[in-house]
Amino acid sequence: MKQNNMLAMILAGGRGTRLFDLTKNNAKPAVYFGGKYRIIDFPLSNCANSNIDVVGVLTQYESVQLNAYAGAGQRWGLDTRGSGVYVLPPREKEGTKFDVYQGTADAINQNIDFIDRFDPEYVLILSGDHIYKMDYADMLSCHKANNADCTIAVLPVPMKEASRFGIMNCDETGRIIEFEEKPAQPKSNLASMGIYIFNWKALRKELIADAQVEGSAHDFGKNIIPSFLEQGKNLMSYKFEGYWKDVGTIDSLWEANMDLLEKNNELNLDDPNWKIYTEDVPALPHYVSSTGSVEHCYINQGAIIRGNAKDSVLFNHVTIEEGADVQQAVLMPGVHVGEGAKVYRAIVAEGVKIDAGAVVGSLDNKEIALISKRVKKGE
Amino acid sequence: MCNALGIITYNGLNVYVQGLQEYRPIAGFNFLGRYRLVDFPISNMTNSGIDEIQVFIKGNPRPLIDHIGDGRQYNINSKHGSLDLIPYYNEEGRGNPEFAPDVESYYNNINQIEDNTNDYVIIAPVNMIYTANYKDLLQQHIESGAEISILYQNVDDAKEKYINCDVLQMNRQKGVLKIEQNLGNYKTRALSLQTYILSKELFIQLVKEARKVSSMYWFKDIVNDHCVDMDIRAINYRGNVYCINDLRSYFESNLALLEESQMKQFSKDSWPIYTRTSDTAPAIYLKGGSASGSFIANGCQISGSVKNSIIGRGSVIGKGAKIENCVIMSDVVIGEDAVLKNVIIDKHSKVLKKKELIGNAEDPLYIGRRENV
Repeated sequence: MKQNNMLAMILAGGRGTRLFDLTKNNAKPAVYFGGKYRIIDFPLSNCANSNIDVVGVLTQYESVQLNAYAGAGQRWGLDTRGSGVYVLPPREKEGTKFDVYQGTADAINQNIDFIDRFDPEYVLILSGDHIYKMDYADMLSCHKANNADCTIAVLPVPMKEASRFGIMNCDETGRIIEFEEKPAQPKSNLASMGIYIFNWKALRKELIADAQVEGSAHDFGKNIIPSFLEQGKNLMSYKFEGYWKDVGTIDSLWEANMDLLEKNNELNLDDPNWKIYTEDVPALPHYVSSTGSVEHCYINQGAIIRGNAKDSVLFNHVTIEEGADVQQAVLMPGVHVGEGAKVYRAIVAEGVKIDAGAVVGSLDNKEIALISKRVKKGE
Repeated sequence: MCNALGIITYNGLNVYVQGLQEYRPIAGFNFLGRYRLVDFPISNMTNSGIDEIQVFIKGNPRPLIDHIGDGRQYNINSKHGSLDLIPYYNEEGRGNPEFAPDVESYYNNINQIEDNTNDYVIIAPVNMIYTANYKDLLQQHIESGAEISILYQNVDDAKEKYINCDVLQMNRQKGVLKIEQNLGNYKTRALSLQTYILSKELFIQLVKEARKVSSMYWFKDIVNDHCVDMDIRAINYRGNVYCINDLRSYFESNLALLEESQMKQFSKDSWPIYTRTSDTAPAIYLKGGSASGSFIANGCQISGSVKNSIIGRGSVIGKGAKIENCVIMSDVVIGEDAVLKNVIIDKHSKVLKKKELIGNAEDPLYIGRRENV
């Protein structure tokens, strides 16, 4: 807190139903990405790199794994005195009815006491669903320079896709004059990234008021932002340029992984000035045996390749046996591909075994196969 | 929990690894692309339940201070455990630090050792890489009734290897008769793993005694003196040992572990080898990049072909480059179309101008740290 007087709250309660079995017993922010990371490593590392000391992680759906993971703040360097990662599932409180988080705004509302304890000037609201690198400290300087009540990060998207997003219509100074959720006729292509900086006092007041509104969805996009606009508050946009991906579907998760295979890819996870931190799993470096071959792959330590791997992302402790062929695939930690098995255009979930001789997916398939259970030969 | 203080110690002048040792003590040598040698004895100790460990080093402490840090990566309890890095320090400025025996370092730190609440000490060197459960060995030591136990392994290539390393002479009951240096006269010898198990009380007594005998006495010298009047026994170690005592053995130990049967010992879930993470991204194979029979660490960019080699963290292998039988440390850059065989390349070096570097399997070519070739 002493660093910039801004506290971050990560909304990590989403179910991520479009990721199917990957989020069956696991919250979406804890889903694996990029050979060694989990999605939530990105907002957490961004916070650490932006000199934010205190991060609240609001969890709800299947939060056990996420709680265990995010609670260890030292992974992101968020463990000095006065800093920390606080996992905040819904809890029973004196004088109020215990209830789950009803919406994104309600999740913050239920934790006003937590935020007040740190007495921040600003609160940064993030979602735990996106892959991107962003300097929130720079966003905060803009927020201060504009003397804004709220600053919303926006991303220019192709005009033809704009109707899929929450669109911000701004004037020439960047001030937001209108917000439209998934407009049929978009007037601008600036999509909200779900990243907000609020003056805490203003937000606090609004949250308390919104909690009393009958029929409110208690949602930032649907209620809080429109209400701020209505009150004529100063809402500013902060234009983000760079890699940003919502990995909410199997296809987009697969694509984002494949993006890493490009030389000088935009995300660049190897930037020494903006490292993405994660759990370190003890393992030897990855090993390619004399029978193995690799071509155009992204491979984490602990993987053993005795077969063929091409155009793929391999996590720690993946084993590809002799004669197996893996192409255009994402193999999550501990996946075992048996001798002679074939895995094409697929995401294989953590720990899944593909038996010897089994065939998964096809190079001709347009869709990406999600494999979350053991596959036997002939299946 | 294991009722022993762990001591990891430096080697005598009988061990010298040309090139590498100019830049760092042996404990800090890079190994298998992502480790430093000191990770192996520390991991053995913490996996054995020893959580108070003192690492004695001589020479430039910087790489080790940086690497060990607060020791959290070794899975030591942050409250009742401790991992202390103790660089050699000569208060009076007398003597030549180069010759300072391990005993002098132990003696300088004797108060800390005396205050330690464990009843035993287990001493391990940094240049012998093996995996051993010290808890079991301590039990064996206590049950045997011996005053000192020393770990050893029979080797049958002592004529060419392990030159100047400690070897044991034993009677049939494995009582140690003598500790001597391997001068390469015999094929078969009992190689000392320089791993000693004894009570803390006896350890302190021997350290004090050794100081009185000679300022040049190493711990093994005083143990050797007592072979006649103490019950000193050897314990046979059955796993694989990688002894690093010169440049060739450093090179061969790295490459030997490219055999799957040998690397298994160091990749067990139940016996992890801990090290400091550098938070680098996974390795990437770009167009034209390939590997076979090799370890490739994270953060590497491979655009050339790598065969039977170890590539350290964050190294870049250029387009068309051919690497065979090489040990390449961290953050090395190999330029386009370079051909390397039997070469050791130290950290942060660049091979950009020279297109061919060929060493000998028995006598590998060594390129120093931060050199441009």
